[in-house]
Amino acid sequence: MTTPLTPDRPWACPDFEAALGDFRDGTLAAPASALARAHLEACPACADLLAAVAQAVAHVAALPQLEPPPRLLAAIFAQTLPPRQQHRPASAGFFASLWASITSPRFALAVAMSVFAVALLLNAAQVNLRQVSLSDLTPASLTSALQRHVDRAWARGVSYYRDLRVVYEIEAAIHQMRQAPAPAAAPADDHDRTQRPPRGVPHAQLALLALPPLPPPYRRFL
Amino acid sequence: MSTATLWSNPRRDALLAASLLPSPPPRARRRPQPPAVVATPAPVAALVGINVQDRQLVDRCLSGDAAAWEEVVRLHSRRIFNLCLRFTGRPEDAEDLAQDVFIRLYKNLAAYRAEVGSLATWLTTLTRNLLIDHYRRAKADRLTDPLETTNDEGESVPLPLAARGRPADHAVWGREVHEHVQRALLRLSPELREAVILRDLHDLDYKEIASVLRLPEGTVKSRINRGRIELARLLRPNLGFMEPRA
Repeated sequence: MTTPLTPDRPWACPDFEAALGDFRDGTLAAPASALARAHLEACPACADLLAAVAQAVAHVAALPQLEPPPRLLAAIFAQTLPPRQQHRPASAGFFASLWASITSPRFALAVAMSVFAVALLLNAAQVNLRQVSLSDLTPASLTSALQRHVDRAWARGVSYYRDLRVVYEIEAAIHQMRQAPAPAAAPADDHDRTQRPPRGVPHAQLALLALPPLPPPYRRFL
Repeated sequence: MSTATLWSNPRRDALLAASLLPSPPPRARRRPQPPAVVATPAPVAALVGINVQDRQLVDRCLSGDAAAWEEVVRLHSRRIFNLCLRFTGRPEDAEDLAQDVFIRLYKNLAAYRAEVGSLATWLTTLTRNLLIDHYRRAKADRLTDPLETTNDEGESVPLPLAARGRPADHAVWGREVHEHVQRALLRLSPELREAVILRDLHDLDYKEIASVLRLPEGTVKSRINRGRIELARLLRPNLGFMEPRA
């Protein structure tokens, strides 16, 4: 290593520090080396520094080399696919990626959900897979079966709603409030039927008569 | 390297300094240093020895040999883990960084050029870049000075390691010394720290360090020298404690 120091003057401490590495390595040129030795002779601080540097180097070199934890290698191998998959032929790569997709948990979950949805629809359409016939799978039979299910569910819902005591009480209260202010005016619409309940109608259904008319397909449940 | 060899060096150097004998030649384990030149990629014709083996190993990895990839990881994981550990001082950070290094290596294996340098040098460069990135990210939450404390006047004084007394157990003493040296390393700036670690701990020669750091050899030598001097000044108050018993 070339040194910028001039050999025609005694070295100061910064000069020696700048050349300390080369002095230790023995790669300092002869004139510079002589100046360094002359400085060391006259400067105990730099002699101490030289010894301290040697000790520091030895201490750094003595730091133990620790074994990496086994989980580090496991993590590396887990996150790096085998390199053989990088340079396979295109067809092999396609099938390998297809197989990897099929065996992935996401794909399995999607298949399970699809099977569940189809089973639910078939059950709603009253298709018995043990005794299934071609006529059961026609669009007309499937839609009529679905319609039956919807109608039945609606009827059950309405019946349940009508039988609620709180509903009946609320409806009765509303009905009384509507009647109280104008008893003279005789409304002529369909709601007027609630004032003269027909015979044979269950008491719980009377309140429902005051509700707005339902869409045509569901009026028949009333 | 045996412990006795390690401990014999400082005494020898101290005697050399005191008696003003000529400096000894570099240690035998060091490779001879070429003249100071800016590190440049070696020509293709210079592709010999270990680089050929590295090239073959990487080619095996790229051709689908999983065992070759395992060999690469097992060959270099210890060195990379220790490099990260000594630079960061935290085993958990070193583990994460070493993992990132090998994942990045795996993704960029095809970019390896044996004519430029060995796989170890390339991997060290990769590690060094990640370490510097990590250093910049972690700069905000870095711990405060672990080597020094303040006195009543608010002046910074060295941690009185020796004042605690030397442990009777040699292993405990050795562990304390290593921890102290590690803390001193963390006090160095990252530029000086990486140079000192690569040279004095990983035993790379100036040319290899210049290749890793992509710096001229003169700059590398200067950084190593400054790093060692700074480290010596940090350790000097406790060198008596750190000296082994006769």
